[in-house]
Amino acid sequence: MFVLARVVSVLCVIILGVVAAFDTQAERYTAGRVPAVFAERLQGHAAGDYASVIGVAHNAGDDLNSATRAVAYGADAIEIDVRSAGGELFASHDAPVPLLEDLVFRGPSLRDAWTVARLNDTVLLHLKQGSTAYLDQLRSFLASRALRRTIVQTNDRGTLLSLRRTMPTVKRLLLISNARELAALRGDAELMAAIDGVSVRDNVLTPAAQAWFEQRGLLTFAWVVNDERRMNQLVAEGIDGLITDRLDIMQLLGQGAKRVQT
Amino acid sequence: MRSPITWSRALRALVVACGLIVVVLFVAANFVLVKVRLLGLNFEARLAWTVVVPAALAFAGGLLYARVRSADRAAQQSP
Repeated sequence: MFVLARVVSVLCVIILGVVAAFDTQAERYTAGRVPAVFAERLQGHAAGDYASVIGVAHNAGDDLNSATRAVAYGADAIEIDVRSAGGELFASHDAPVPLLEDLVFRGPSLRDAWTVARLNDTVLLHLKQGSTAYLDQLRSFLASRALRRTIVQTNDRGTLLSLRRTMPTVKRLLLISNARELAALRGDAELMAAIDGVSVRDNVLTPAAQAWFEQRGLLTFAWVVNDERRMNQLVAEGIDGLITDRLDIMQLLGQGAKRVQT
Repeated sequence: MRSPITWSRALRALVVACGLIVVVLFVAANFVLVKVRLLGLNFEARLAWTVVVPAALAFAGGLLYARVRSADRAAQQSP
């Protein structure tokens, strides 16, 4: 017992030391990654039909303060990362420590994040898991919460095919992080038929790829775009949605633009 | 040479281990940034550290004070 107690004590001290030294990483396990949304003075480079583009606040739903700020700035949609833990749906970019969710995890529940996000007509849900139980939970959650437009994005093919059958009213975006996933989509007719659009990492979204999506009638969202010149380029090429950390740009995008004009 | 493990030493080690487990769980559950104001100073710190660090310092101070006091008494009582 003595030795065991000593070992546990030493382990605890090591854990405390590691937590103190790796602050950011520790936070990811206890509260999920905090959204990086920010606002700065517009540089005045914005040009083009920004009002036709949906402005999505990147991961803002993972933190209620960030979500509230994003709504106040005129974001058209709040992105929420959806995870299931302990039988409940959470808004969190990272998975909480297994079995200790109730004790140590303090990220918002999906219900709380939704309460803020639904202040807009559109909510973007990033599905972080794909199990049947998880999708059942999500389905029952959304069934009681009508919204004009709910968009989901995931990189899981099976989830998208399943959602097409079980939640046909939800807009489905395939998450594309690299050129390999883009090439896989080109050769997958079944998946193409199951999705309404794509959500593509900015550095993967070439003009040729964007044109290819447009030819096939796919909605195209780009993430994460914080540079005004890049936004101009994407808007000129017909992007449908911009997922960004920059809240100041929201007053130029979509409904935010209309609010400013009125 | 190590002193023998007595029940009281084992019990003390167990209490310390349990206390440290509680501290670890407390830190994990309160690992959130808060704005701290102290005598005109404003800074951001983790809620857990704002509780644990002063508490640990106070505990260590108390322990040191008790040892110094007992050493003083022992010195006074000795012939």
